Amino acid sequence: MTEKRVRVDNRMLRMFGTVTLMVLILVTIGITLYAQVNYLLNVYMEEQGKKQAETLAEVTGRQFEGELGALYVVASELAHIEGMRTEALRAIQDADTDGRIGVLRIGGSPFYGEVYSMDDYPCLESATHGESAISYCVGQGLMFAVPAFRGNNIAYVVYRLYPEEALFERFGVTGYGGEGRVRITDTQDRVIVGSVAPDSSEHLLYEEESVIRGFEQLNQMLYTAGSAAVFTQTSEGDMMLYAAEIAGSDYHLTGYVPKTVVMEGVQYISMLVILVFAVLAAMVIFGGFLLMNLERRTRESKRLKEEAEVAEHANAAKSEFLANMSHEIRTPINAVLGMNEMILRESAQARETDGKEEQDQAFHRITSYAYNVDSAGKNLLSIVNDILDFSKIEAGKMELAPAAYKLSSVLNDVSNMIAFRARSKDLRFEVEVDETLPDALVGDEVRVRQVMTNILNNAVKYTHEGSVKLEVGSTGTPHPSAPAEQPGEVCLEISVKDTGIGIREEDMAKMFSKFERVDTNRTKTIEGTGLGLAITKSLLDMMGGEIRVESVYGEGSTFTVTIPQIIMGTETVGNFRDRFEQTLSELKTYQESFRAPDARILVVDDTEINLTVLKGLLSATQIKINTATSGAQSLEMTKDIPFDLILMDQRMPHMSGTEALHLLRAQQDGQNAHTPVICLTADVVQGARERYLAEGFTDYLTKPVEGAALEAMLMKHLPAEKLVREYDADAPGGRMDSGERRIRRGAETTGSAACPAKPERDGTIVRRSAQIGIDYAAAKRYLGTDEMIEKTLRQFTESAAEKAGEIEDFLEKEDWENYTIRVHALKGSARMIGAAALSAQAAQLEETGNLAAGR
Amino acid sequence: MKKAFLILLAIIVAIAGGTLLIRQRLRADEETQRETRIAVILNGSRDDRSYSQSFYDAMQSYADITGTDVVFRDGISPELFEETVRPLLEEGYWIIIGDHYGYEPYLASLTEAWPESYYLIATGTEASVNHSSFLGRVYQARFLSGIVAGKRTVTGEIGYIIAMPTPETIRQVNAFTIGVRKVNPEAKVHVRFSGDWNDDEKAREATKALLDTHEIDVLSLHVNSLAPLYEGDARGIYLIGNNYDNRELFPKTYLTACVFHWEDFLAERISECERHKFTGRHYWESIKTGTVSLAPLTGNVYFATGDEVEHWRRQILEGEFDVFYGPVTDNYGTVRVREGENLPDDELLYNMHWYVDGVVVE
Repeated sequence: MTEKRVRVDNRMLRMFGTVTLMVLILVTIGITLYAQVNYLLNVYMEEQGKKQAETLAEVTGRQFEGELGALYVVASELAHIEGMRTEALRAIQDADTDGRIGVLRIGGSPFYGEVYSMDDYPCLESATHGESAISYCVGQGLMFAVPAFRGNNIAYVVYRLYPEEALFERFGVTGYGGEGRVRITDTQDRVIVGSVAPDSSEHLLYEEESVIRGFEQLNQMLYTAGSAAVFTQTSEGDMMLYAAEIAGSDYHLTGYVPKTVVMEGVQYISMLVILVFAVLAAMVIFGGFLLMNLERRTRESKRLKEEAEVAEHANAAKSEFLANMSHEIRTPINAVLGMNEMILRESAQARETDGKEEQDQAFHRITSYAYNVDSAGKNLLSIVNDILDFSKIEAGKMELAPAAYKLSSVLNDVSNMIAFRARSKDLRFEVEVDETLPDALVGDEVRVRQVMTNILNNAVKYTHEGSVKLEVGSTGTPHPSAPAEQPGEVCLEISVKDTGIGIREEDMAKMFSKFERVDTNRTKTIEGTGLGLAITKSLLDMMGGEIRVESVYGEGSTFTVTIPQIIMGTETVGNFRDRFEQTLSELKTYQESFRAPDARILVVDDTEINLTVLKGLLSATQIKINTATSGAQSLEMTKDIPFDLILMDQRMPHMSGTEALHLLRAQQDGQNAHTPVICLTADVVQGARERYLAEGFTDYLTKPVEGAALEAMLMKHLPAEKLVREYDADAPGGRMDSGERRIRRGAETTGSAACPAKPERDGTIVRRSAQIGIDYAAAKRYLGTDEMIEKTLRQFTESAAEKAGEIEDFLEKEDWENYTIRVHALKGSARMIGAAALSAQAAQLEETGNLAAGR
Repeated sequence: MKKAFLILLAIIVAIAGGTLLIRQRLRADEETQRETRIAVILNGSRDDRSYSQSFYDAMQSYADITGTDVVFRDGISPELFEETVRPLLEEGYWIIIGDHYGYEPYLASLTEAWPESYYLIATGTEASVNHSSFLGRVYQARFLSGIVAGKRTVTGEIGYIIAMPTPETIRQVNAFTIGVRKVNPEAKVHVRFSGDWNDDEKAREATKALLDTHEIDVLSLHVNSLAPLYEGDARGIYLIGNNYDNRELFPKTYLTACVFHWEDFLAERISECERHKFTGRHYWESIKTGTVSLAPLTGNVYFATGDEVEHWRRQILEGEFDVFYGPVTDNYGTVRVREGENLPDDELLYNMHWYVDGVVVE
């Protein structure tokens, strides 16, 4: 999930990056565009400014021309008047309206008006030489001078002088409606006519660096053009400087005007352009986001579709599985019901027949039907168990329950079962077991057995001809990546090789998945839930083991399972094959059983059938059985009747088993205050045993109750003196459970064939064992046969001294490591022979030993 | 969808980009201060001890003082002007000073091709956007030199060798004569033409002829050649030079000379060029600015000449007097300028074809 999320984030990031990039590009373009528009507008404005300057210059030029013209008029007057001084003077006076006119003779003496030196006013000299001119004398004023010709020669110089203070009154120019400042300067940049209405800051402005440079630029431009204008930044904002030549003089008209005045109205153009661009940009960005959104949506829908597909597929698989299961479950149920029907009919028929032979035949038929039922029932149970196991694993509630067990025992049971199955399919079954494998192990025997069974069953199931070979050994490591086996640990390697239909390469991965059965074409006819391997794998995972497959399609497969298990004792499995083969050939099994005709038990269950079944299961034991269908009823009975044992169903209406138990225990003057009560429950979740024990039950049995388990439980909890041990030597055809045997024996008893008398064992062994501190029952349970018990006991006593010596040695040497190992081993072996007390003591020593070793 | 979007973006980019291309060519960019490089084109040679040398001296001293890059080209006749100047312009010389009016017609093509170049043509009469012409009012110096001559002469016969009659030469000999007559009302100025500005042989011939014909005891000239001076000196005749002060050559006979001091004037013009304040016009520098002047009088002058000269100089400087202030009569007796009148510059420059009273043209 996280991987996908990362991928999505990357994509989003990229999209976002792209959009951001586009925005940046647009912004850049926008800025450039704005600059460009402004530039163009500036250029336009400058052109306008030029024209303004030209116009103003023209105005001034005309004025100058006018001045000179006026003087020429006066001069021409002088030309005519010769020698008539007074007339000339009058004429001049008339013209001299403002008293500024003067006439000088050649030689500089005044004819009229003031005398001025040619040094101050070079225009006078110029006029003397015949050229009219204008000159400016700093601090004095502006003089216009023209020659007065007489014939070809110059007779006088006529001038008009405007004093400084009158200059801008006479020549002052305003531009831009009074907003601009205009000056008249000469080529040396001396101001001749200042601005109209100058303000205090004006001269400062003219001295600014940027302004000076601006006017220099204008001067340059004036060489090639009559006018020029340029925008400049000043301390008072952006200004447009302009200049123009005043025709007919050496003077320039210069000035400045604030840009805002010039640009009035024009800035809206640039604003408009920017606005349009901004709109476009916004559209682009918006489009971009829409696109992003769209992409995200399509991606989302694609993802949803994908997820839907996956879910669909899983759903389909589950539905198929359920359908399958329905079928699988229905089949044995049908068998059960059908067979039952058959049994009822047969027995009804049998009741009505007379002849012994017909009756025998009828019974045989009934028996075979019952076997069918049994088989179907077991099948059904196995399926349900599978499902239950699977659910537990799925829910994470599957837990291992490690305990001590004998490997050989497991191998024995498994091999017997498979041998039987293989035989019925005409397959060869071989077993090879490493002799040196330790026998006393600690682990979850049930699960180990389950795994082995599963693999072997598969091998048999999917092989139609040839052989199935079981190899059991040990390997250094449970799986490649695990550390080597710890001391006190063995890594079992169980390998099953068959010559079956094989597995295709591409199916190998699917094999371990739940619900999937591979190669359905060829395996359609083979029964099974398909959960087997999945459960096996999960169990192996929990046990720290591993499973490997090698297969050649059409030729066969080899399944190899490795399970690490803790070693508890030093015994080895020994020569398993011989024993097994012997067992196979003999097909005998030593099965312990018992009778307890003196015992009386109470069975409480609200379901009648269950009571019937239980009674049936125990019929061979000749135990007296009372039944009750409710807790209340049972309490009635327990008041008066002393029972040796009570089997109490847990789940009952009105009063649960636990409640009944408590009430029972609370019964004063009841006969059964201390009777062991065994809880019958279908509740097999973890911690159940502990819980029931905590509630006061002596023990518990899981439903449906297995005959062997039931017998074992009874043997455990019934008073020992009431138990009569037996063993049955000739149970035909492999190992059967006690139920089966009971029925057969029952059949034989009622049949014609007389059973050979069975030797009766009384409780002497038990008593004798108890005297020496041996729990015979326990020993029997662990070691199986009396023979084994004898053998083991002998072995134990023989090695006891030696072992004890070793322990004492290590104790003296304070070698706690070894001490603890030995003591631990002692605990185990003591328990095995039923020396419970010894075992307990050894356990204590082990504990302290652990502490000493610092574990 | 994405494609459409990208296309839209591309269009916007294209439009924006297109607008950026609309750019008016900026005229007259910021002008960086460029190094001043001057080329001086001389019609004569830089060591002719005469007119051309006066330019050479002026500009060389300018170069020495300011460290400006100044190059000279000698002996460039007007026809050679363009081909001489073009490579210089290409090299990066942008102020061209020429000493001959004959160069003026050749300026047009150059100013067009190199609009950033400036031309200062001496003795020229035209002016345009980047071309100024200038003269000194030599006639004023001539006038003063005439006073010297008038005071010196004993015989009352003064010789004057002229290359050829032009308003310029006529004007100057007129001024000279006016000066002579101011202090020596009866003296005569005998004029002879050599026919060439630079030809020594022709000048000598003319001088010989003149001196042989009259009892001349003071000689002046208006040619570039120095031959007349040598000739006069050989005969022990007092000399008044022109263009250049050559008193070392003629220690016994040299009186004074009309000389040029171009430095200040040219420096000012050059400065105007550098400051982009060039104005194309015609300059006629008067004696006031010192561009033209009379060389200091030698010991050979008549005593008290100095005071006289000074007196008249002062008059001119103060504007009370100029050479052609009236009355002026020509040598035919016609009153050309009445009392209280003045000849306008135009007349002086273009129309002086008459000689003043006292000039005798051979």
